[in-house]
Amino acid sequence: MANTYDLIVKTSLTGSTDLQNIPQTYTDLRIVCLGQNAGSSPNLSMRFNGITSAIYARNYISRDNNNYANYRESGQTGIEITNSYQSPDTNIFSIWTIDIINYRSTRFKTTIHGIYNPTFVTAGNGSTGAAIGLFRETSAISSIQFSGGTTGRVYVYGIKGA
Amino acid sequence: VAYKYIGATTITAGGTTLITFSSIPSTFDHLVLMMRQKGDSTGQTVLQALIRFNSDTGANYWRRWLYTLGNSMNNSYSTSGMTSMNIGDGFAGLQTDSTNPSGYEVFIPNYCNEAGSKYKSIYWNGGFPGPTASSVGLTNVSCGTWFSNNAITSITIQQEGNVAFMAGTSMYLYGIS
Repeated sequence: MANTYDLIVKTSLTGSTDLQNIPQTYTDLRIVCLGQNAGSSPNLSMRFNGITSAIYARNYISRDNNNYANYRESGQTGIEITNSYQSPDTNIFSIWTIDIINYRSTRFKTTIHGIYNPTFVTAGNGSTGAAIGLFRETSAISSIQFSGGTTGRVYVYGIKGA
Repeated sequence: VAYKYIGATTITAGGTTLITFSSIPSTFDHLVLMMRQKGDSTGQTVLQALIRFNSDTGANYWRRWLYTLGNSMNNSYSTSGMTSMNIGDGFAGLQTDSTNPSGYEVFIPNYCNEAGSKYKSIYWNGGFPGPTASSVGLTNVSCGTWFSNNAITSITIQQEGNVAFMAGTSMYLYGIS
């Protein structure tokens, strides 16, 4: 039985991380991010193919500290993965999983995010939620850029049919 | 291979109160637990599944829930250390369809500190549908932390009140690398 779920790249997540040469041999991509940001650095955002024009959109629902939140934004210059990237406790990673469905499609690309920021009560009570993103571009995704945040790890997996 | 089977437990008869995955290999980056829970009890709407790591029964767990139960949206977080992390909710005796299973995916990244020696942050997604007008249904998107820098070598799951899992409960553990 053929492997259908492969690690493409694993690297450190820094304030600016550029993942080039995404193979064009899979159907979908799954990204796992582990991040920590003790300061006031910008929120973690994601772009594709180095495109910085305002062609990104996002909807999300979350429980962030004591507030429910839901929001829709369009015409963005990147997909903000979460608006609460901070994890004040340096012992705790926040978690994001991001699925990029049919990343080689010649239609717009939809992304699905799970957002999890566990933070103990002494430093805040954490947040959890989910989001949908849109990359309004018809070219295949061949590179992924992350910006914001400080330290962590990013893993990119390719998923395909047999 | 990025996604590899480690082990599974399937309950075929009642009476089992504790499911254990021991001697977990340290060769992966993340773990995924796929959980199908059938929990029955009297007097409760749902029956929580409790997870522990490395048999740690100290007050070293924390969790944040975001969930719908019936038609309402709810949330909860633990305000102090808990002695286990309550991750799942199975149908229980007050439900019309008390024998239906719930389904959860539990994601446990960095379980061996591959990305750095940290406390163990995990998340879980799942719930159960309400297939009849008198059953409520539940959707859960939540996360938690085990306050330990130790690599995870074993996982145990039991139900609140130590209620036995019903036949049809199954748990599969996978490693991702």
